[in-house]
Amino acid sequence: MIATIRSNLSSFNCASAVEKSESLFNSRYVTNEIRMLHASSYGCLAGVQLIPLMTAVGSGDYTVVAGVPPTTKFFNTMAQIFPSSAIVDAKTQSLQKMQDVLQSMIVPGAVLSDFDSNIINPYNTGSLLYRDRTDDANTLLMFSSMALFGTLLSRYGDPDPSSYDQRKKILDTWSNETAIANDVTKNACSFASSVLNMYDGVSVVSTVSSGALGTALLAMQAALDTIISAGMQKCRNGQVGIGDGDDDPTNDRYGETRCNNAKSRLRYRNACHETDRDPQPVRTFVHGMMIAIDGTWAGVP
Amino acid sequence: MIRLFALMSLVFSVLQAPSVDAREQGTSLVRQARSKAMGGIGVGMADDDFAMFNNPAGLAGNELSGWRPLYFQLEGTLDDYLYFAELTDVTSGFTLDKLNALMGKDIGGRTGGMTMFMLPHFHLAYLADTQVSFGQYNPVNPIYQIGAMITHGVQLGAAWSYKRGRRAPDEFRWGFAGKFLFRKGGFYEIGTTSILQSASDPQTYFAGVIGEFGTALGGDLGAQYVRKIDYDTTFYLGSSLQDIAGTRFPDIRTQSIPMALNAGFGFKRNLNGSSFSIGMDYRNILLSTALSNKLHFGGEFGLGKVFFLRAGLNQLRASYGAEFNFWLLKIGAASFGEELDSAYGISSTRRFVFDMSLGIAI
Repeated sequence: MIATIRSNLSSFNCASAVEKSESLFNSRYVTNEIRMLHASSYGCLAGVQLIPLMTAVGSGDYTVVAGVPPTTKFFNTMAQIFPSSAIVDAKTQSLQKMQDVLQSMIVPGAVLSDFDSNIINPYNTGSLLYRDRTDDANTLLMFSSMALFGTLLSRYGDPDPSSYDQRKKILDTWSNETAIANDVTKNACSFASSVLNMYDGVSVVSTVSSGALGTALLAMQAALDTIISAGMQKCRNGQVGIGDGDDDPTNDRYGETRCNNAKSRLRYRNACHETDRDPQPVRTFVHGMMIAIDGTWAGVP
Repeated sequence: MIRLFALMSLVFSVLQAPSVDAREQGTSLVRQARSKAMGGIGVGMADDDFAMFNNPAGLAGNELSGWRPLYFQLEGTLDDYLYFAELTDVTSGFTLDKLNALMGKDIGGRTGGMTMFMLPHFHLAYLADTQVSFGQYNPVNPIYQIGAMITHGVQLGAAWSYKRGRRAPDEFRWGFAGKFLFRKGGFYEIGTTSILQSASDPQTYFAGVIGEFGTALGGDLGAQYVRKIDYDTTFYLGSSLQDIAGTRFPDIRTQSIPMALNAGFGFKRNLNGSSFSIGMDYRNILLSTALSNKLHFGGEFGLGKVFFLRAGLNQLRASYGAEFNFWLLKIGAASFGEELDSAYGISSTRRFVFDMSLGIAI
């Protein structure tokens, strides 16, 4: 069966690869090799190919353009590499499934806490912590998160087909925390989750990569850092761009612990909708990130 | 003697060999064009100078002395030819994205050489073998199957035979072969993360993957029953246990040779100076792989002792070839299909082998 799945993947028979790996993934015979093949099958459906992707990322434009606030071409590059215009397509769902599966590739001996885990089925539990997962899973998770982020940027930012500048604000779709909470597609949360998962991967892979890819990852890391900081500012202080609230306890909206927890939990793509946990700071965190994206992607004022 | 066969079968049946990757099946040191053209047979009908590598009991059929100063073998794949342009492109200026053009292809080659001394019932050979291969699957997260292996060493074989009487139609043969090998490398699967990590110093990385030369001792056993049905017709039945308990090298990075239990039969008839033979082998009996991967059928038609045509089914894939003998020189070629996976019909390849040897009778 494994040989058949490998063969299906090499011949781009993605649907068959998904079907065959699904039965193994949902069985007690599942191993990390099967998880990787299952994740790859979803990646195949989404059109992800790691090597061309690495080349495209390495040759992308990440220039920071001076202004108030400064903008970055990082978003343009992501939108260019991962085009998507359909409201619903298999690409987003496949990438989301792929992330779930990759998060379940745990290194032997890792002990998962309830807070940092995501139970997929009785045989597979995902970890939201980078260190719990295998190197191969983390590398592919970084690129699949990049693909998901770029796809959603393309879909909700309506980039210009030639310049890839933003033509529609992300906040037009998700204007506040309530809109995020009521988002039936759950794409808002997934969007923000992909940023954090990408950041985790970029932070590590950039240290071992050289050449154009290494340079690109470092530029990407700076852009992602800005987005994540904005999420934290919004969560702590209720606004983006005025520190994290540490110096103003009276204006600390959700508190350090709840916001740090929100940031950690947001590696799970449905964290905004986990009503049995603490979803409100997570939604606020997500909203802050979207404000930052709209503010630093060149295009509509 | 029938009891001996029964005992060997019982012993073999309780021995267990680990499941190995299908690519490891192809690592036998000598892949003779004759055997590959005949679908990979040679255990039951071990009747030539290369019996030592298939079933050492067959050496008991050799009553001549000689020296084969040079045996040379070259093997490649059909994909080497079909994707030569892509392969050249990759090697001319290596970048990872160029490798995608070789996705799912079987790129590889091997070359070997040997010199062999032959005495009645006894052979001694020094052999060398180099193999390289490249495979890649899963474009989403590529896994690179890289093979790089150098082996050389000495192999000797001896065999005995027993007949009830000088004119008895039955002959029982048994033999053994011992080998002392030096080897470096093997076949490895490397993920993209490792490739990324190796980018800063690939030479050191691959040197670490392949390891250093190591030595290993190995042994083979064989048994063969030969019955002369009439003056021109012979029936063969044989079994061999190769690399008993596995021929293992001290460095775990070095490819070990798994134990293989094989059995087969053959039938040979002389026809007014020409000859005709057919046979079947059931190889790698203990290996955890599809039945079809263990089956080998083939036959040979010889015009005198000069020209031979051969055909067969190697793992149910067509094989064919020819050999030309001219005085001291033998030139053979074969094309054969081979499975790359443990199940039939998922991934197969076509390979070509050419061999040439010089033999001097003493």
